[in-house]
Amino acid sequence: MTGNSALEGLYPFLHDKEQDPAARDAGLLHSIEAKARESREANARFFAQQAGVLIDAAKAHAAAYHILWDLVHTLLADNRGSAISKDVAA
Amino acid sequence: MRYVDEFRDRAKADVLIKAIEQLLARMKRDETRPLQIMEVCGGHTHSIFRYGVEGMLPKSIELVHGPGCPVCVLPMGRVDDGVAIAERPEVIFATFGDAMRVPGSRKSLLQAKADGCDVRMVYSPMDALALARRNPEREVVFFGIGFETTMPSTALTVLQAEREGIENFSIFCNHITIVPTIKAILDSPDLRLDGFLGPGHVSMVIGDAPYEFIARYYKRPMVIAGFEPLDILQSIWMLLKQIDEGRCEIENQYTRVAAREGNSIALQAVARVYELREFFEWRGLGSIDHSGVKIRDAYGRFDAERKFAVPNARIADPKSCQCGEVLKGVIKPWQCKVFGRACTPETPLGALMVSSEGACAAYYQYGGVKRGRDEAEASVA
Repeated sequence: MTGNSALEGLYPFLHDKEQDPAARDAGLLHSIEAKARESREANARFFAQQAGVLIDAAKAHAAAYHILWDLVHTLLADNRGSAISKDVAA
Repeated sequence: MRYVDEFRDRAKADVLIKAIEQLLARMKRDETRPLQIMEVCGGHTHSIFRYGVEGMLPKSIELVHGPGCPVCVLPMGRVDDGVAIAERPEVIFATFGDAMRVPGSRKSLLQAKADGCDVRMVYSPMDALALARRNPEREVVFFGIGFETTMPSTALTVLQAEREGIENFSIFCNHITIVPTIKAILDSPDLRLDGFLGPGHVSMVIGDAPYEFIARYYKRPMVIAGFEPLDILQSIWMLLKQIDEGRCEIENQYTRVAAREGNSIALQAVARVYELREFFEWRGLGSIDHSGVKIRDAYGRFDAERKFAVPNARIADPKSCQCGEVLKGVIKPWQCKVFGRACTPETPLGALMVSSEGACAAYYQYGGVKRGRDEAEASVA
């Protein structure tokens, strides 16, 4: 047994098969491109399939805000003749 | 003394410090943080404090004290296992002196000795083997502890016991390897190390090839360093020079002891007697894959863990003890809540206060308590 094989036994992680750096970089690039493409396609597919639902949801939101605004406006208008105002007037 | 005095020469130290300052002045670096250099070995930590090396360096260099003190990283559960073996009436438990006071969850080996156990301090595993020869009616167990530096001497003792046909001798094996641990440190998100002072004595056995991944994949320089103050200063200068020149290499300052190819005879003995454990628990660092060794089946009769039933329990460190954070360099020893108060070398809570190579003991022994408090007061002011 040589010193080198002894080191291999002691530190197996150092002797894992090394990858060619160019092949590793190409693999990394391919992985990034695939992820970016997949993300773009998923976004496009989602908005194409759900466009009607999204527009309905946006309209429902807007309607809810209109109702809320009307409610606040009505409450403020009704408060104009409150007891406090009368006391101040008296 | 030759090979010692010339490495402690103050005038030469001043020259090196000036060279370090000049390098730092011209280096392009992030000025918002100090350069963090980890000295891996506990022997370095001890020398750094003993000779005041840290105080000589410019403030823009911070030394982070690494995990290279085998006594310090021994978890409490393993101490308990050792005590359990020592408590057997037929056993003579032989250990290096600095492991005697490491606290277990019930007691240390020193307390076990005070309680009547036959615990003896030895300077070498061969001393333990001599005990076995002299006491054939007893079982002698050697507390095998240490990194790649001490692994070979334990392995050679096992081989010697086999040659002599000594059957009443065994090893409680706690030998660990530093290289996977350096990798674990490099993978830790807590740390932003700029370089390493490599362990000189481990390198004497394994050479410098096993560290090459540090430069190649982690892009960090390392200089294998000797243990005298000039060794450490020169190694720091060599590290800074690499950083300044944009190099990441494994360099060897300690060429008078550590050969590039290591010691093949020692490595062969290691390979013959031990095999890797799947993992080993380190105090403060947790479980690290392939970071410890056990005795091979072929030498199983010399393995105390097979000879005697041990509890093999995992014991958490005391909550107040911050050894783990100190070991990873996240805090300085004096920033630990119990440093110098509940935890002192006389009554250590954590293992870093036990061994002279432990960062806390070194800080405490060489004026770190006072300096730590001075620094704390200065930061408040």
